[in-house]
Amino acid sequence: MATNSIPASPPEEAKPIESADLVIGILADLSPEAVTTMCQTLGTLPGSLRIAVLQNGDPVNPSPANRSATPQSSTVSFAPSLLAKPGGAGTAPLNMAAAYQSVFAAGEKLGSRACCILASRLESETGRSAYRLAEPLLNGELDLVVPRYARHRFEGLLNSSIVAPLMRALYGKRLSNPMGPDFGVSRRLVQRLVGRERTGRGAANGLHPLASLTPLALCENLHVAELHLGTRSYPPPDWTNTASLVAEILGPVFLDIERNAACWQRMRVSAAVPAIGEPVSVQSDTASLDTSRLVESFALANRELQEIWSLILPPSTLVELRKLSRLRSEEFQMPDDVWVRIVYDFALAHRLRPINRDHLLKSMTPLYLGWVASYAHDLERDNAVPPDQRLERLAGAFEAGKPYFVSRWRWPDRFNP
Amino acid sequence: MAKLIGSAEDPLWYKDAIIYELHVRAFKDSNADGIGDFPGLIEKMDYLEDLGVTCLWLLPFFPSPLKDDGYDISDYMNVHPRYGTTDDFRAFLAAAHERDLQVIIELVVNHTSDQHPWFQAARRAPRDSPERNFYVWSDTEAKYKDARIIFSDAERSNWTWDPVAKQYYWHRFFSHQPDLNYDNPRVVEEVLKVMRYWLDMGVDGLRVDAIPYLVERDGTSCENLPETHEVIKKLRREIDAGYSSRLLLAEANQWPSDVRPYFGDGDQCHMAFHFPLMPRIYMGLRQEDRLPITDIIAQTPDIPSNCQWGLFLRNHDELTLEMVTNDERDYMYIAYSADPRMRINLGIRRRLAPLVDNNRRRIELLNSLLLSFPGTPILYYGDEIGMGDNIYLGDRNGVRTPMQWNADRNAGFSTAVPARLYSPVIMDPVWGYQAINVEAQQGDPSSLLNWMRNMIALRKLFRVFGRGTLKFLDPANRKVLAYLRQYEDETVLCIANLSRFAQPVDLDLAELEGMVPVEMLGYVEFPPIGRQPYRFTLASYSFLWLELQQRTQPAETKMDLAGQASLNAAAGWESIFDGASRQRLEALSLPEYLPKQRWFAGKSRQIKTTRLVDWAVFETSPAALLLLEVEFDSGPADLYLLPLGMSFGDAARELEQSAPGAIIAPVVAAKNSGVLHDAVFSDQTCLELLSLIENDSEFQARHGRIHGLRGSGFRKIQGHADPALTVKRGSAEQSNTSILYGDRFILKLLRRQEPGPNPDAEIGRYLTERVKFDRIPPFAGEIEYQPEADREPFVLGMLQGLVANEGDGWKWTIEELDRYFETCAPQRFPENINAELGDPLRFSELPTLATARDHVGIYLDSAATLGRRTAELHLALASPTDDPAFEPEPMSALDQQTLVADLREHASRVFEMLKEQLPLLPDEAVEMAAAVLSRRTRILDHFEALGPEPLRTRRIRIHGDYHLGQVLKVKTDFVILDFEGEPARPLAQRRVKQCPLKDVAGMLRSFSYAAYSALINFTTRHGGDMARTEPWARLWERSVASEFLRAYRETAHGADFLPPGIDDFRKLLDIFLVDKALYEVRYELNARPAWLRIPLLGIMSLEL
Repeated sequence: MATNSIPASPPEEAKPIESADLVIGILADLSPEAVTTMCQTLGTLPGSLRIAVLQNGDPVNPSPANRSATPQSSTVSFAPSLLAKPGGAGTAPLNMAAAYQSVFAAGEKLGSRACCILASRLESETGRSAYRLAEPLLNGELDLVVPRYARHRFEGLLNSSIVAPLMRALYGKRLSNPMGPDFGVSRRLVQRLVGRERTGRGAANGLHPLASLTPLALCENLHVAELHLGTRSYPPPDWTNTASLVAEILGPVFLDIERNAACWQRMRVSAAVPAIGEPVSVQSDTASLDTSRLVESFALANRELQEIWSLILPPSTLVELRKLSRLRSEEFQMPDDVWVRIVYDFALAHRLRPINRDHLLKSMTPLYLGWVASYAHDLERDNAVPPDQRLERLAGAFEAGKPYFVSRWRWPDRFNP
Repeated sequence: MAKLIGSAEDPLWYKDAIIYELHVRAFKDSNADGIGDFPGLIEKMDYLEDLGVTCLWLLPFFPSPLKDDGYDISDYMNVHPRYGTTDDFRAFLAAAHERDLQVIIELVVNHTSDQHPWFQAARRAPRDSPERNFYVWSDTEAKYKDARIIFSDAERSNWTWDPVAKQYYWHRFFSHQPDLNYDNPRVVEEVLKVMRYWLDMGVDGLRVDAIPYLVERDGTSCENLPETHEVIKKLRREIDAGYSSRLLLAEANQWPSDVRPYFGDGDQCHMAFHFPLMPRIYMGLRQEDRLPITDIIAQTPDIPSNCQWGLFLRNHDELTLEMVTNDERDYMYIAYSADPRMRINLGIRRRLAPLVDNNRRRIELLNSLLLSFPGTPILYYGDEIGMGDNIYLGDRNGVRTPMQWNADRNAGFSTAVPARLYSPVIMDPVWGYQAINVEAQQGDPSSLLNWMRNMIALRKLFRVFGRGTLKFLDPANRKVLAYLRQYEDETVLCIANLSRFAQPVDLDLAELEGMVPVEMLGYVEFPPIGRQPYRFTLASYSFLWLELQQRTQPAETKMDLAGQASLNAAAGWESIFDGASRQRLEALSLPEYLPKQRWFAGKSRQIKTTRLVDWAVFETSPAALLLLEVEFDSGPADLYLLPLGMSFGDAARELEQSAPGAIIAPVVAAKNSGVLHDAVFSDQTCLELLSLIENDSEFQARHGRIHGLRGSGFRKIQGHADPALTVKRGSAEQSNTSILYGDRFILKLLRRQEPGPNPDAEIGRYLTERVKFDRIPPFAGEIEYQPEADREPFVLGMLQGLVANEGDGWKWTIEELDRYFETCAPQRFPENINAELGDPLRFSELPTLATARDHVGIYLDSAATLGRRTAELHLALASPTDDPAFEPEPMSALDQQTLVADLREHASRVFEMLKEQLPLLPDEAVEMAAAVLSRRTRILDHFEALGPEPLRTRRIRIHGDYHLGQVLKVKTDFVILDFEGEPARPLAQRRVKQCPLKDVAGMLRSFSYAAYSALINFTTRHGGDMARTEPWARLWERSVASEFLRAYRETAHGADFLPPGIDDFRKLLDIFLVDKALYEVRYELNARPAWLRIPLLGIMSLEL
């Protein structure tokens, strides 16, 4: 195993790492400079910690500046071989799942007190992000640190229109990015996650750590906080090709909902979690969206997918969708409560499997595009509310609709309104 | 040595399990030999997983001559070739575990088959040799003569002569099943080997067959002997030493008290069947009486916490009637087995569905009991689709026929020629596989199978069913079985109607007051539980499962902390009340927090900013008292009292769950994250406030001092109270905040602060300590804040004695009205009464209407009592005194003009407010608001009715905000509360002496308010016609008001605070009625626009 310690041990003196207080998994494509800065910052963590950094590719050579550490400084070593390579065979999410699992497995193996994963590129503070994720975990108070990114209005909408409000309504905590992907995780949570995957049927059955971490922590009543991490760099959204993404993201989320049914049906109100750091605002957010193609996709699906949707959605929702399909593009407006019921009905159908789950999720995509178009129209109005307030309203609709979901879940009779 | 881990993570997995009992032979045949087998069972694992069961119990599948359905085993460590191989079993086990299904198999070790090699060796071995002693031998049949014969239909003795051994051998069951001899240590060792063999393979549990009969002793019944328990303990020790998450399940067909020892001290069997419950469930159903069920549960002893009862409706044997009396057995035979062929031994050999005449509702009812009684439910294969039986087959084979999978040949069970099947499938028109099969029911959304699947899934969501306590309720109607299950924070109320007809039931749920029942299948919220009996109406054979939930905060009180950065509390309170944290608290956190609090009076105004005026930090608890000035975009600033607390770790998380609305902001201190919250939610802080009063102590604020003042009645109220009084927070929504200390005190924290005496404390102290009026809670002390520079003190809180009561008058009245409407609404309103329902004062001078007496009932008496108490209060407040604050004063012309001017001014303001907010009102209130506004001139003119001449009356201190919510129901009487006056008015106004008819008007409006809000609730809930029911509301209101007025006037007759003539009395009363209704309008506009309709309706109904 190649190891590389900062600042004490040069690469040629590397020895296998046998234990670590903190494991950092770098899954993002970071520049060598960013990694160097990160390691330098990590080295300033107090308590003479042993820190193992897992990163694919060539380890970063320590710079001379790193060598002037105090005796209290921590030691940073590289252990890339412990990390599963995201570039291997299989689909991207499965690879990503394997990469997360390998970081957690390394954490278990090395007996670390915490694991941090950096999977996204941040527009600033990348160098300090690992430090900031790790610090609150190491004092033992927290079990999970999830990111809170400053976002442009059309970025991360699959998260903010489905995943975040759904998890908030179900699990009772208001988290902006419950699926990370940057996370700080305590040893206690890692052990529970690894233990659950060992005894359960785990990733082989579609469970994904990205989807499971936050619900697991919340259901186990562990301590969760949000960390303001600044602005994340998203790839430009490709609205014409979102079906696979919808299926890949929502599949594990819905599976986890099935698994945690006894937990989320207990949660009745949502509450905020402690926030660490200062919120960051995006500098300019004037992006606009051509919604005509999104509405066209919706209308086309309304003609083509009726048969599938009728297996999933109740008559009242189907009628609403028909009405929507008759609207002109610029008038298109999907009410939040309709959207919320659609999401809940798809989550339920995912459990009941009236059709193949992959087909089911893909058939949800045009509905999602319809909601995105509505959202875009909302933001463009003269008296438009800011995106955060708009999404907060949506989250409220998810909470208000939860009794509908619970009742459908408990008595999934198709003879319903 | 490391323990072998079982497939279940939780060692108590069996408590939450749903067990499915099946026979491999009967489930699915994979090789067309007519006999079910393991590969066939594996084929059907998806079905079992989909059904939702969590554990499979397999009947014996070992090599056997099969003279007793496999309970005559000839090789314990193998699989009968008919069912497959050991590898097939391993594959089945893996498939089950892959689906998170546990597996229980049989440990039939009381006896073996007479074909077992041990027996064959024993009969040939010399007498008293170890081999011979594997079994129990005797030269005579006289030994153990006190033991009963269990299979009395087939056996005449427990001894059978063996011509080879030339001795009798002992057998408690069939003669081909010789009993093993547990006095021989080698037998125990061999049994342990068998056990280890299967447990090593991964089996999760062992059902120990015929467990009471392991050891025999002369002069006993040879059942349940201490030596038998020693054997079981050995088995258990072996399991505990070498394995984790495994189970021993005792089959002991005994009374519960006799089964109890099989649990030992949690060191024998983990589970045992509850045999006597089964026949009593059927008996209760047939007799439509819960008694047989509650009786047997009452006879069931507690068991160790790691143990569990196994419950079942039916199994592979007969419905055993051993554990019933002779009369009960006769009844059961007649009720459930008309054809003698249905009977065997001491029982009935029928399946569930035929037993209840294939009535779907009865099947569902019985399953609802099975799934909600304390224990682990065990389903018998085929009962989930309502399979029938075949009473023409011998022994108990009629309930062991092949599983009915579909309508194909042999019910889809096997592709063998029908004659080859181990048993004929059921083929009659009602029960046959063409009619009843899995495939058909899977395709039928309303099938029993789908119902069972949903119910199983529902049960699995709630651990309370498997782990919770049971408490039967005792309603008068014995056809209804009602019980509470409770486990940790889960409480479930189960109600079952055992009758074939609809039944009403009133349940006493007072101890759960305030909880909200939520029907669990459809997640439907029911009205909250009150102190009065809770009424249910149950359809025939229906059942309800209701989860009792704490009432959630209304949506608007939920805190939105998302996006709020944490306040820094690194240096304790100083860092909160200073610098950036203070700025954030004043500018962001508090302006967001305050409008969501019920006690905050400025909801209709926009907060501009808040300012911390003064604060005092407690010495011994992490809390502070804060005086907070709130500035609005318009109007004067207000001052509020806000006790602040900081909680971290678990305490903070608990608060987030239990009272999210109390949280003001996240805080961090020394890397601990926590929350800043209302300190009323800290018991420690609440006790500190009490101690402040008790000790007359004081502490320093930044700009003043806070001190406690103990009232003269404190010690008497305190009595010899336990010093650790439990703290509770009052649940009623009101303008202040109440803290309850055990059953002794209530501290009212006054949220909105004004300098000067607080009228509630002032009147409370006066009535308690000076006039000795005892229909109020006794005054016990107060907390004052004395600012610097000799400014007027502020009263922060008042302590009173707690009065045992049945709830406040409002709640009690609403409950009474609910019942009133339930009874009256379906009835046609008597037409001849309408004309008589005019002015209540006039009405009070007439005899009470018979219709009112009949329907309103005892509430009329209560209204009269309340009228008397109100008059007595006024008489007490009008007592001669030298205290200028209480001395009665004559009503002068100026007073009267001022009064009229004030009332007109108030009315004008309310009309303006209503007009401004008209576009924002809820739809249902808009029309009525417009109608009220159209009467504006008439209403304003009405105030002039008093005229310029002063009325001959006196002004006294009055209650000032008198309504049903301000009285407590104490048995058949009332206690009057809260002399604070209308919270919206300035303090000086609230202390002014006034005409006591204002209180009278307040109570009359409250009766009206109650009648109409109950009417709206009733018609909303029942979808009734409001116009049709409204006359009943009017009848109630007018009758109650007139009783109240009659008693008031009689009691206060001659008092100089009342106008002597009826006309003046009426004039004064009318203007106060209008004023009160307008006050209500203003209040609802600010706080609850959805309720606005009620005072508007009240104004419209006034005869102006």
